[in-house]
Amino acid sequence: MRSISKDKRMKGPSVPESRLPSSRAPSVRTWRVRVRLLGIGGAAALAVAAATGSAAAQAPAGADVVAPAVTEAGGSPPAAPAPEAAPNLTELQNRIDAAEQASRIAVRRVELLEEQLAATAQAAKQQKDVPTFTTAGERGFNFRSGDGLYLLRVKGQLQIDTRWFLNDGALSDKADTFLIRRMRPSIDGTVFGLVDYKFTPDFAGASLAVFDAYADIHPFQWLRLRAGKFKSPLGLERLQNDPDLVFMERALTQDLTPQRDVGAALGGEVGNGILTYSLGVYNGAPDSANPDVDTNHAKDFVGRVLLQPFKAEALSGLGSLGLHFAASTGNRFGTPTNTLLPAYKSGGQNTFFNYISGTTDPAGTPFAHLRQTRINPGLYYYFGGFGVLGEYVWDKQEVQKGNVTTNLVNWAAHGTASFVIGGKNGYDGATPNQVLDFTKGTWGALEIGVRWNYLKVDGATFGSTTDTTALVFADNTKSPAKVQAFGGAINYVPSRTFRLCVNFEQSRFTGGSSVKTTTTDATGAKVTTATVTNRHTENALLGRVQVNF
Amino acid sequence: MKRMPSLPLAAGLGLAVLLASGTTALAQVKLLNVSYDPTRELYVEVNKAFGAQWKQQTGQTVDISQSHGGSGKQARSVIDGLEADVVTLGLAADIDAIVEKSQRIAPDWAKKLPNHATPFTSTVVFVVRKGNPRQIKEWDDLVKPGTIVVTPNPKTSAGGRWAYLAAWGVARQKGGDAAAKDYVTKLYKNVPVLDSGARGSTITFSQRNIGHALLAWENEAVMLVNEMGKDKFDIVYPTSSILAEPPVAVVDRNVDKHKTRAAAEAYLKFLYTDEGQAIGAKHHYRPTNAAILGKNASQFPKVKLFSVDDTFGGWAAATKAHFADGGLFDQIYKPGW
Repeated sequence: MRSISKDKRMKGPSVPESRLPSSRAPSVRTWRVRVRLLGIGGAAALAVAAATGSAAAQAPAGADVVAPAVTEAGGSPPAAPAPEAAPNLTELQNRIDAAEQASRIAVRRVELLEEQLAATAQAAKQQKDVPTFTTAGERGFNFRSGDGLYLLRVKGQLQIDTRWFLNDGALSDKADTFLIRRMRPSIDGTVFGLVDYKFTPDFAGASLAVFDAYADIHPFQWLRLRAGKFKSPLGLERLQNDPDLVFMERALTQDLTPQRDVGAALGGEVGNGILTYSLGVYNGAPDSANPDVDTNHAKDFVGRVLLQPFKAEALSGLGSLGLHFAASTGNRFGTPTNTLLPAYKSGGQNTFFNYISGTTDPAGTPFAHLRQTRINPGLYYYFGGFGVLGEYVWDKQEVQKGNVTTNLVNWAAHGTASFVIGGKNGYDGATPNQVLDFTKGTWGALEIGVRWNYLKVDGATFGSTTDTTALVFADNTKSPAKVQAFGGAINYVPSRTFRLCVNFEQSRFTGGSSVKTTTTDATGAKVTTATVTNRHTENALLGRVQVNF
Repeated sequence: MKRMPSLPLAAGLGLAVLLASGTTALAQVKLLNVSYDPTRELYVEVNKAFGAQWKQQTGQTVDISQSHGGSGKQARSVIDGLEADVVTLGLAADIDAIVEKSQRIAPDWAKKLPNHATPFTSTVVFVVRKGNPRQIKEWDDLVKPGTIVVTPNPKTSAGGRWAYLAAWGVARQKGGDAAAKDYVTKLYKNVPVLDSGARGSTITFSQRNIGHALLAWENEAVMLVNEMGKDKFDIVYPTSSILAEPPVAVVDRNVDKHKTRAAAEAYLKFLYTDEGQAIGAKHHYRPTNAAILGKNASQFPKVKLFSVDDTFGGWAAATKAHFADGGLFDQIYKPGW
């Protein structure tokens, strides 16, 4: 019965409405044709036979049926025992109609049952079966078990950059370049439906570095334990994924937070993500550092809360607002040979600040000693294509030189505004409404951004012009006391997996260079003095091709 | 040393680009209308007419997508997150369900537009085979032995629910609720197939050639006769039937999220304009505007109509009594035939 296709059935007025002209009696052939037509299947034929009550009820399904006691020519009935009174044509017609209806109803019921089964199977497939197979897309290549408990994702991030420094001959000579900025294959997934994992090395640069290697146990949405090497929750922009940033390089605030740290943290989401928290214990990484091993017994305590009030259903139309506050504290035990003090980099990734290093006298080399405390408030807001993100980092570090220790406080801040044309803006980056597709005439999205960023080094770092006994931790003729930068970004985002970026940033420094003046003193001897001047303004033009899946 | 272009110039250029992009975004608006089964053709024409009007009034191009299915199922989809800007469903109860279960629509939605947010009405009529060989003319004819009736499942279909309540209401007028229960019990004994939606029942009756009468929305009945051939089916208007009031509403939370409230509200208000009402009449929905209804009176035979509010005390009461699990429909309907 089911061999009849739906189309055939839909087009199939092959089963007629069976209203005969009253002036004409049906022939035997007509009945045969009718019953054959009724024979949608054996069951239907049997139904017809049963309904007519004729001897045909005994006939095999699909067999020709001879109408009882009716002949086309109106001849005499056979000379045999008189049969039961034959039903009249109207009665036969009604019985045939009833049989037709019965068979059609049976077929339709089967059809509806099949539709229900198909719908149920489809739903089950969507829930369970589809992830059994390999899938590929913006979120990498996925392999998921049928029960959804096991997942393996293979992902990758490749950034090919170019840097050009304008109006700075010295810098251009050594720093205009093409480079592989990031080359990070990544494996992440889930085991047992309970534990996520991630492993991300970076092959860019001179040596292999591990950036993420952790396990994340999440029995509840509001409680997860992450252990391993990962981003400590300092730095609102730092916590954004690299491929999602408006600017190719993070703002100056990144100089005051660690890249990664090794430790364990409890965290989770409360109220459907309205409140996110994290509280962890880490080995303690210096600013900008990405350490793999611990050098001492001291540990950092790092906490963060993120409030996203517009995740409340009643406020969901107001966009995406995140209020971030993070802080850390912990002790450092640096040495003159491993100072645990940072160097700071500009937007063009040139090192502009270093603590001094006494190459011959260890007592002349400052190093981190004891308490470092960071405080980091920030916020973001996204609405449609528009977005802003800003933060502030306050960083106090006890620094020792010789036998003297002092507290140095450095701070940095930045604000970034961006607009996505043809897409949606968010903390997770620009998402095109429609990806690039030449056949459909869609072009992806264009992201435009501007930012201001600032970093100030504690004035005590450079000694004192009035107190010649004051310790000097950095040379102000080589390291600026502050830097302020303005930048602009234009990113073409054909899809979330691919983008082309052009950035320009101008960084203006206070201090960090000198002019030497030679004079002759009263004795006639030549005296050379160095006058502090500003480091040459950096005009960095950066370009990037990025593939991320 | 060359000087770099000044920052104010760069900022000005950036601002110009931002403004240009904002203008582009303002020039287009997208809406999703989640509706029930038989309204496909109606809203295709409404969308076209409204789009032209909106463009003229605001300069914006409006791109309206449609989604159709059983009314209850569509409501469930919106509850589950389908990003509808407007819903145009078969039952007020389905919109109430969205209000109750997802709070995506304000509870006073029915007061925001005229006639309880019902731009058009309809009723339940019979479609019979050409010549009406069973002589089915009134509701009582449907319960005669041997008569096969096709109607959708009232548990899943708005059309099925209207048909059930129409049958109950007519019988109740004659002999009260007891008589109504007896009548409806007999009626559904004559229903061998319960499709999940009105369009499915139409297919069962017209393409699968099942049944002697189809209980259908009036507009669906007219469409069936016009499209499948006037030589195949007749429409029978009973003396009395139900006043079907398929409502419309803006999905408040979604339009605020999409920033489409102005267009969505204008879209629904358009249904009440002379042009919108005329389009409704063209698609065999009874206009609520008396003047437009009068102009099209010939296509809407007079039927004595009763409302759910008057007969059943409103949708909440009707749903609880008849269609809740264990309710009257579950009591009277026994699967099998």
